[in-house]
Amino acid sequence: MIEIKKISKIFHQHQANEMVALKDVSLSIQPGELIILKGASGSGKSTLLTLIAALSKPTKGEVIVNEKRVSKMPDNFSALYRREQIGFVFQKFNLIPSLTVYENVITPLLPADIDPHLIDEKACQVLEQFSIMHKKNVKVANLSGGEQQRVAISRALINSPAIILADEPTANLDAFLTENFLAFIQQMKAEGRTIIIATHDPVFFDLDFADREVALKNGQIT
Amino acid sequence: MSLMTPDVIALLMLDVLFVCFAIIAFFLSLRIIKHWDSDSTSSLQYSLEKQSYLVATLIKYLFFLKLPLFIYFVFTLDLVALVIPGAMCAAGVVNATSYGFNVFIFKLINLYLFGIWVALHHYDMKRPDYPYSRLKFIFYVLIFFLFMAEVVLEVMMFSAIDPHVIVSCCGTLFDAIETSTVSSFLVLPHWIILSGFYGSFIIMFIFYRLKNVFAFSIANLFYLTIALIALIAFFSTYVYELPTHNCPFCLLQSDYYFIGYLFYGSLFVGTFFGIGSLVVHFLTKEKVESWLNWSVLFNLCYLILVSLYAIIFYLRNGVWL
Amino acid sequence: MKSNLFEFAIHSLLRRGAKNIFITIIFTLLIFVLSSVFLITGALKNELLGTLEALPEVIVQKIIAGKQKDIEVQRSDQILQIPGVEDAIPRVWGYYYFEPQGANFSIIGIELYENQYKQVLSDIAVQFDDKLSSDTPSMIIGSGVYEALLSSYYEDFFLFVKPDGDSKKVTIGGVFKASTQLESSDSIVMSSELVREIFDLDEQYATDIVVKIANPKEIPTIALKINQLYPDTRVVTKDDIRVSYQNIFDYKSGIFLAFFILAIFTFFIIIYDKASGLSSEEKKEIGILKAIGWKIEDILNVKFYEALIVSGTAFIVAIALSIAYVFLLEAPLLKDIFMGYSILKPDFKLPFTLNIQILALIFFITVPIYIAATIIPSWRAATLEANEVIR
Repeated sequence: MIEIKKISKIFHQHQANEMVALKDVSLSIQPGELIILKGASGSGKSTLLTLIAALSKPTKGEVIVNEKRVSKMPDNFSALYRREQIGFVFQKFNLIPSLTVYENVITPLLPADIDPHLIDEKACQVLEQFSIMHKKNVKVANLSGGEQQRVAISRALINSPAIILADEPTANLDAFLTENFLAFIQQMKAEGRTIIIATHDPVFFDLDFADREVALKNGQIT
Repeated sequence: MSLMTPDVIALLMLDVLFVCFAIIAFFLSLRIIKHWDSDSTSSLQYSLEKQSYLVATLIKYLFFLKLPLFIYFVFTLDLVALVIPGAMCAAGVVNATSYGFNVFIFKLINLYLFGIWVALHHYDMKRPDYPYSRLKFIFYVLIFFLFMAEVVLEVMMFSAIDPHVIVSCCGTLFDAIETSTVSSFLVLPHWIILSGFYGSFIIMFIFYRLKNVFAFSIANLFYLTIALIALIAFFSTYVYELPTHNCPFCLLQSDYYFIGYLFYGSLFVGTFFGIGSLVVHFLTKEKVESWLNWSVLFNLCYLILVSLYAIIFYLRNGVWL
Repeated sequence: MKSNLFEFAIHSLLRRGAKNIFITIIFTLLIFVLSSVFLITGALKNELLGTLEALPEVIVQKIIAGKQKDIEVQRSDQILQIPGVEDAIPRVWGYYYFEPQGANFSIIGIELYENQYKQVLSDIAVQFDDKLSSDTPSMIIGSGVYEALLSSYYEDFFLFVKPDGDSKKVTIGGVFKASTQLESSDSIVMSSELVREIFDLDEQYATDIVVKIANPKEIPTIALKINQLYPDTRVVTKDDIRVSYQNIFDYKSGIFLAFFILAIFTFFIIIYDKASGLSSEEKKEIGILKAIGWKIEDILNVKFYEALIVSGTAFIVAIALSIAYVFLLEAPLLKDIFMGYSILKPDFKLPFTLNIQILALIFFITVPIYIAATIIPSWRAATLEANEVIR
């Protein structure tokens, strides 16, 4: 259960280049919901995702996830929260180019001091699931856009997170891969995960398996 | 300074490094103490949180380096003994100046305090609201002054050692007829010292079973003092198999298989857990049962080790020294 | 110790190979030099302290105008009268410059049937008494001396050049091996009479007088009395020598160490300069890691492991290399710097001396300092705002 209470996010506050990304946004998301965040670029949807993921802190307001004040958590707790509860698929994938597919996928698991065999198990499972296992030892820098996205998704899912966040996931994909992605989302929804997708790709609009659409414009919900 | 052996230089250079780090940590701590507000969401609070990581890292570095460095310090004193006429081991060097004994005491106390700080930090980080942050930085500020005192004393000690002045060796230092501070305890008859030693352990154990942290801690303080006295006055003679050799430092030498490290190690670790448990419990109200357990374990180790030497000697020779 | 993160650290170092290898090599070199210096001085110190063992408690020298002069033999009788003095033995000895090697030999004279002041001399006196007392002038030489003479084609005898220009032929009567390298490599023993001849020393005089004292505690008192008896003498005790050797080594090592530490700090300032500016790629990587759930502590741990691996590897490799350099290769270049502090001595092998103390010393002034230099840059890296670098 995600509760966003009167969130405001202002960048470079009190400076010449001050920018209001979000203003007084409130939203309630039930577990298992699939939310589509609509809006043009600059409307604040990416910022909202980062706030939910506790990647940044709001200037005002609170984000509460499963009764925990995620917006106020200190670093080591918010990191743990991100690691265990959130699977974030970034717009630019944010993979580490000098690492291989396998190495990228397991990075969320490394700090937890898990047995290497267990790590291997989880990695292989998720790589198989997204059909990227055959490129396990290839450096990410040498992959195509679609392959990289599959790696990004694998990494996001390796810890079986309850909440999946995706920021413009289809921006770099062709129609075929977009279809694949939609199928993936549908499957995640069937598994009961909470999914929030920030996008301005019309393919997500009026989806039959989406629960809600939330439109953002200039930092506010319309 | 006439005592510029490479080891002394190394120690002093590291002291310089430590002081730099300690001072940085000190000023950051002051700032944190002044402005810290767990509930705040201002950018000041966030930068303070980041800085607290730096302070913690610096203090952990200092602590984990001070531990082996303390051993190295004792080693160096032993080496310095070679250039000071009369001194045959570290004991002579420590007593060559009025600072020596105090440097030792400060170093030990600071090790305990730094260790407690690291424990506090550990508990602090376990809770999402960092409840003990301000507390632990105030604690550090206190430690800082003691640490500076230690460094100043150390520098003064090394500068004051005059290789031309003959010093007494441990043979005379710990003799009952001498009038040093330690000797005043050594004149006590053995049965008093020993009953104090074993007695304080039993009392400590009783408080352990009663789970009374306060009393247990105090008992540990007594135990530490009495254990050291008993070691010097009684047990060390059984290691050396010589009734007049009481030196606490010679135990660390290879001639006696470095048994001193085991003695002191178990005693200091045991009493660290014992005394530290009170501080931690008092400051944080956290459960300190594991501390009590470790304390008793290590203190018992010490008791058994020193007693064994005496007992084995008796069994082998049929007499007490 | 989080082994997964440790492996990640190794991997991370290898990925940025060039820069890290460069740093590691420089650091290894620094430690290598430091370690070699300490190993050499340690070995030399051991050698010299070894020779000290055999020295007599007290040596009485006559000093005039700040220089040592030959002392009257009869003074030893007077000294013998002082209570507590066990024996007072006049010594005749000196240095002979052996040109082919450019080094000095010590020539030690002994009176065959008198007390010797050193055990090795007693042994030689007993073992070679026939040779030393024969009519042909003979000498017993250390094994190192024998090698030196041999390399200059002197196999059975040697021609000493006397102060008046004449030469004196002395047969090699035998070879001895002393307990220390120094003695074996530079000592020649012959009868005092012969030594006197070679150095043109009058029989009323000796080089110095050795005093044996029964109770070591009385040494200072007796030294004082000798001084009062003969104000023109200097009384040197064994302790004085030991302390002065120790101090010379410590002084030299100390100065070296001070400069070295300065060098290390400068090195680290440079490193810090380079390291504190993380490349944008590195910043991005840290941002990504934090975004997917790495704590600040995790990043700090990785940085710490990286520092530990670099400095630890450098340390171990440097120590191994310097042991090989000093004890296998005989430390070309460096050894000469340290040997040339007093009278020239012929070449000898450095005995293997390695103890925990030297290793600990080298460790404490290298590894922790490197790690210390990385603390602030690591912290800066670990506290980067994740979402700013991944935008």
